[in-house]
Amino acid sequence: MAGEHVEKEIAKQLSNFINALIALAPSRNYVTQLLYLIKINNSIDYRILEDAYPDIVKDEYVRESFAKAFGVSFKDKVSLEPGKYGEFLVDFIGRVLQLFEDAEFRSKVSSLLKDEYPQGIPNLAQEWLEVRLKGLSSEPTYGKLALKVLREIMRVGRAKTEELEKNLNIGRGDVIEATNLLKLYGLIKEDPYGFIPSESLRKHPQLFEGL
Amino acid sequence: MSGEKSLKDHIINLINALTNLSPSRNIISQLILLTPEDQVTMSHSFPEINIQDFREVLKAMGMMFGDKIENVKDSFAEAVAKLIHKTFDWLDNEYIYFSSEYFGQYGFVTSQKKMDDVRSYLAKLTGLHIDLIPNPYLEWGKLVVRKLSSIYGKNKITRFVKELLRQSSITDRDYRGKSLQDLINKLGATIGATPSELKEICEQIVYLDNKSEFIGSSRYSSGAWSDLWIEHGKYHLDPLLYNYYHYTAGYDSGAVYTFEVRHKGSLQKALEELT
Repeated sequence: MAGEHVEKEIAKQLSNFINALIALAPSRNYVTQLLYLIKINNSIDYRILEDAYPDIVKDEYVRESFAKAFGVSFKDKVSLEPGKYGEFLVDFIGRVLQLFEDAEFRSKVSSLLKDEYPQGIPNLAQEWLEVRLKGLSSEPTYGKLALKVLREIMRVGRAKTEELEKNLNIGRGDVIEATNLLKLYGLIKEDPYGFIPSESLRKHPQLFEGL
Repeated sequence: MSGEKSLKDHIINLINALTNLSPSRNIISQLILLTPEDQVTMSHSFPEINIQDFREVLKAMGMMFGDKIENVKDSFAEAVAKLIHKTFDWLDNEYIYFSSEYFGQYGFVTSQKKMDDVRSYLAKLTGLHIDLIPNPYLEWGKLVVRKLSSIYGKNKITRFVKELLRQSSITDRDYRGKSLQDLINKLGATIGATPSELKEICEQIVYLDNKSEFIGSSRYSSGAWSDLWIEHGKYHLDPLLYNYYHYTAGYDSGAVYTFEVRHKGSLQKALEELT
């Protein structure tokens, strides 16, 4: 009986801890999602965020309070202020995503939380990728085109702007808009030799193929 | 990507999640925070760690089990310990950061600043009364003060902390100052603690030797500079901020060592609840 009691207590404590970590994930929380997107882009155009996160950015009172509470600078470019809590928090969230990507960790936790998570605890890094892909595909202006461009980058592994123009038969302006959107969502990276799929997309290509 | 919840809901969820990761809310955070510690002592205080499956989860997060239980360097467990400290400070308006500004001929000047109005901005964002915004430091402070009172007596702990809180800062001209030690001795005499009791109380509430954490440096236009450290106690109430200020004036130079008392309001509230 005493053993059963300890096991129940452990499950309760672990559940509380794991659920708190899950609740921080950018796939589950609008605030950490915005902060995390700013982090992966270093900074984002104010106009883009005004459209994507209107309830934080449009109202001056909310925007100022948010900026002061988390340490975000809203200028032409929106960025995390160095050393403040928002920047610290997104670094921690990066560690959470890394931890939940570890299959061994998920399996150990899931075996203790079978009742609560019969399918196992989620892979939060994968979930975050799914949310970004869904967000991209529902983006009204360049979403569809961005998916087309991403499919081509995934197919060839690395592509330059001119190659995308030629292979997809679309104009340079459209390629730039689409790749900007893909960079914003952290789905591609740019280096001197062209665009490549992000690390998370290379790890989970099946999520893109399933779209 | 916002879903159906309102911004207020998301901010409240975020604050609740951070609060639930605090040691007042769960034993995993307590274990992480209170290490390094002797395995026998920990097994006695936390019998849960003797369950193998649970221990495996803790290991996967970066806790190491030997004669001592400790967090592996750069592990997730260590990241959680840092998060707890930062969230304590953030939700108690004590979060310190360093900011650089360019001052022409003086170049970049770096100064220490504090996010000291966080609770008020979170209250505005959530529509909650400021007192309803969770304060993990206060929650933990209440638990620690209650626990230590049950060991050393309410009167001793209350008077010790009260006297400490009466200080705004303690200044010295030499390292690990005599003034601080004098103050601790005076507090010991005031509460009638034996030398060994005083050492224990001091280590649990104020500071442990060699557990200072460097948090950053300020550079002033005069050429002076200062290093800032947080003093960690066993239970991480960490009420002292240690400032090493180095100056030059002509051919003369010197240093001033100051211990500033912080988290005053919350420690005061923790005491009030106790009485």
